[in-house]
Amino acid sequence: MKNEIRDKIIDNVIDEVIPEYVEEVKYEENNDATFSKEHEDKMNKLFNQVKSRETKKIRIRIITRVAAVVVIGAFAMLLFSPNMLAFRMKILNLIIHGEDEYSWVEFGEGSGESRIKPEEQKAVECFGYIPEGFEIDEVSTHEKVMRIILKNSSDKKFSLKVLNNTMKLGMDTENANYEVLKIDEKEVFYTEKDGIYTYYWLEETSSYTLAGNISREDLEKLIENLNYEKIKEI
Amino acid sequence: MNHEGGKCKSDLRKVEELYQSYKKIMLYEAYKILKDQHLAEDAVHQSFIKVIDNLNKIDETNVERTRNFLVIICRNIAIDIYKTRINASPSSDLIEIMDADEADVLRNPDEPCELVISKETIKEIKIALESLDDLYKDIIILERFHGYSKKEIANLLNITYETVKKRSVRARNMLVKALEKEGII
Repeated sequence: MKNEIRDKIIDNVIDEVIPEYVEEVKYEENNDATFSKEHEDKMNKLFNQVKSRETKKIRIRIITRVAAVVVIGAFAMLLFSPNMLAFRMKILNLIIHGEDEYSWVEFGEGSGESRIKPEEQKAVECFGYIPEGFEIDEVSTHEKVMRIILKNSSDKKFSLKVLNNTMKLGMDTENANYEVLKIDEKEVFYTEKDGIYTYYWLEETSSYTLAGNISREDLEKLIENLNYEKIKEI
Repeated sequence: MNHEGGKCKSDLRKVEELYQSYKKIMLYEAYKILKDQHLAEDAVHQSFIKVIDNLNKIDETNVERTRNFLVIICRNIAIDIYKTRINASPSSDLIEIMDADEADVLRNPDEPCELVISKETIKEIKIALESLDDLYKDIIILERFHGYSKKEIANLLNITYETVKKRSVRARNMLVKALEKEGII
């Protein structure tokens, strides 16, 4: 026990004395000493290695930071996207159409012709039912009038015209067969002329006209399934 | 990057500063051992390779502590070069010191004695330290002053862990012996 204490004291004293010793110790140097060119070249090479190692370290640090920002950004986008497909679309749109005002959604394969513009997408949403093979041909809005035309590859077409803020129905009944129908609890005026079936009705403060050279069944099914809320948005 | 005086210093700048400040002292130390300009330059170059690996442990360039560290590294590398190039015989002083009797290494006096700590004691310890062979002195300074572990010292000085351990014990015992001789303890 006594020896342990003694050893500890000796160690403490040595530890205390060493820094003083290091401070006081004098090293000689030859001020006239010169180094060979070969040595200086070797040292410069060594310094260059330090430099490149340092540059590499900085590069790794920057890459790590950029990667962290990208991961955080992707995570944030994922949070605000309802599902993986939407997330993928966002990323692809960002890359491909970075400067476009709208996001483009590609349906089907290949060509850009199948792209649906946002206003067309909205027009599609107005119909709860669309006969098979029909696609938006034209969407136009002018003051109080909105018109959507859909057609298929066999040149069959139908159009929906909405006239806002009116309680009047303008019908062409000249040389036409005329009927008053009840569709979806609504009073609908129907005419048929030259193979064109036309339906007229009022909904709130708008008058609607649905006309087309497709079957009556399809046209009436279209009326039954119209989405009036979406129509108001256009 | 390291901080010195509140400024960020690049590794390159630090190494260049160390080289410019201590290259002549290091060359002198190496030359004392090797007696050859080119070998001494080699020792300086190899020392800096070691220093670069331990750059994060050097806080400031222009202090005694750093100078002492660089001199120790250079001196030991010079000894290493000496052993390799000159192919020292087993009877050479350097080797003889390293192969000292294990019993002596582990010697630890049992006799109880007192240590009176005074200015005189401190002075005597410094003298005892100065009288130590560099091989031992360097180990004890690296370990107790620079805070390197035995493993790190072994790596720095290109020697085995066992050798570091032996030299460390032996250095301490030599100091104790010197103090006993002077009648301090």
